[in-house]
Amino acid sequence: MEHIFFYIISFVTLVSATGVVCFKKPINSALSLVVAMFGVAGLFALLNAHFLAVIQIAVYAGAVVVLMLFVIMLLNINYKGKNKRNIIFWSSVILFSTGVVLKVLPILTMGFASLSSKPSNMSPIDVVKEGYIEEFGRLLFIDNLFVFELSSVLILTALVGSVLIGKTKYD
Amino acid sequence: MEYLILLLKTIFVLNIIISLSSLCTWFERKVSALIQDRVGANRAGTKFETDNLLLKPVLFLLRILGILGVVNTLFCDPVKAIMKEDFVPEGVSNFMHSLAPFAAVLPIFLAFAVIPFAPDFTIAGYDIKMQLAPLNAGILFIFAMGSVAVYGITLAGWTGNNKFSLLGALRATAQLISYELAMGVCFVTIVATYQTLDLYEIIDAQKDSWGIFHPLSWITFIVLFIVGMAETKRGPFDMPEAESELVAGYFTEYSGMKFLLFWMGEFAEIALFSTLLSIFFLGGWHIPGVDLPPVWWGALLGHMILMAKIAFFSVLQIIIRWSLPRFRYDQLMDLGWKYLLPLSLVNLIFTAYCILA
Repeated sequence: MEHIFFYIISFVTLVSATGVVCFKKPINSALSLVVAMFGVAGLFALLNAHFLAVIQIAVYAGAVVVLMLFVIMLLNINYKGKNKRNIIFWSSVILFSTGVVLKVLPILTMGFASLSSKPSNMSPIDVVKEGYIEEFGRLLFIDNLFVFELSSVLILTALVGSVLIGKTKYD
Repeated sequence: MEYLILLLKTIFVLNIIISLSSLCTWFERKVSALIQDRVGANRAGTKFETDNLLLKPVLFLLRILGILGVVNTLFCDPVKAIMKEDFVPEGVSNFMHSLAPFAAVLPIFLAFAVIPFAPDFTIAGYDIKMQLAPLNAGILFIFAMGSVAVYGITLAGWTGNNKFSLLGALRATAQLISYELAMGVCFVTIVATYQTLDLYEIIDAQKDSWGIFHPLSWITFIVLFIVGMAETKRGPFDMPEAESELVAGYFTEYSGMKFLLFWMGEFAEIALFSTLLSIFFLGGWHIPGVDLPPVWWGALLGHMILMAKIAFFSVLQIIIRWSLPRFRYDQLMDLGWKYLLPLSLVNLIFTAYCILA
């Protein structure tokens, strides 16, 4: 049963991820990105990582892509003639995606083999059943607190930097 | 057998959503009539006459329902909406235009999947949990679905292809995003108070005393109630569909069944927030001092208690919606950003201090 769901969700995710690149209208791309995010959340849910799945939806589908959608709608981008799909575009798409598939294929088959066999030692998937969120919080806020704070400082720097760039442009 | 139980539960929950939202529609019509000193819907179904003795009691029942306005809201309105022409504005992708109402309704329906509607019970050897998806992050799931519900509104405003729709959608999205912050902080406060994300455990923690009797939860309750009214885009917060300025806001260009879907989603959202409030603060199916046995009639009784609480909060929201005037836009933003968000943050810190100290 889980295998069937895995195939369906992966198929939907991959198709919509391709759609993000291939659609001509930016709004269609943004919406297929939403579907791709939901697909990734579904894969997390299949691994029993409910918390990650929900956070994936709340942060990416619920906040990030909404902002993208807003920018697309308000900027009123004229996509006619700008996003021409010529031979260079398609050949680079095919080349790049073949490379990614060749790289990812072994990992996928490995992951699939581990789906059918029970993991022996205490993996993150095992922690899920009992207090996954507690374990997650302990890892994030106690064991790896320094890295966590460092990444938040990085995001703050990016925020200040983007405000600065935007200010000098229009001042 | 397991799949059959799951299917039955799905039908049950879907039924609850549909009946709650139609009940809210009826409440809305009758309560608004009462508040505005009108009679309200009372004509449909009252004029039939028959000599057939068998049909007489049926017609009598129909007449009573008609006088109460039930026939009008639950039968005539949907039939009218289905028969209407489905209008799509010019120069708009038909697919996107049809997608919007579903994108607005689906997340709210999905959020009901994690809500437990009755206590556990055993029937014919099967332990039944009246919750569709037993997630251990139930509150977060509802929060995530609330933030996804923005898509339907944005898409509807954009595919409306006119200024009123777009302005309505912008207002709605700004309002949702602003009030979502305060809602998130309130949810964190609730999680900190009950020390769990599981809705079952939250309900069971209130077995002896409801959450609202706890002195710490008063501010959370008030803030969450206001935020809930703003999230449903109703009451004094109905700027996105201010009919005197924006025709109907983001669903101006919708007619027929698609319009009805938006309408239904709105009422389902009222029901969702009432459910959340009754689970967080009124103890779900618990009444202090009453112990429900884990058999089918105990579960049914618990379900009815929960439904009574949901109906109470729904009627309260509808009464507030019809008695208060609309906010100005700057007042709306002030309330969200300058009062509710700081208040909920201070409340969170104070609650955390009280728990740890």
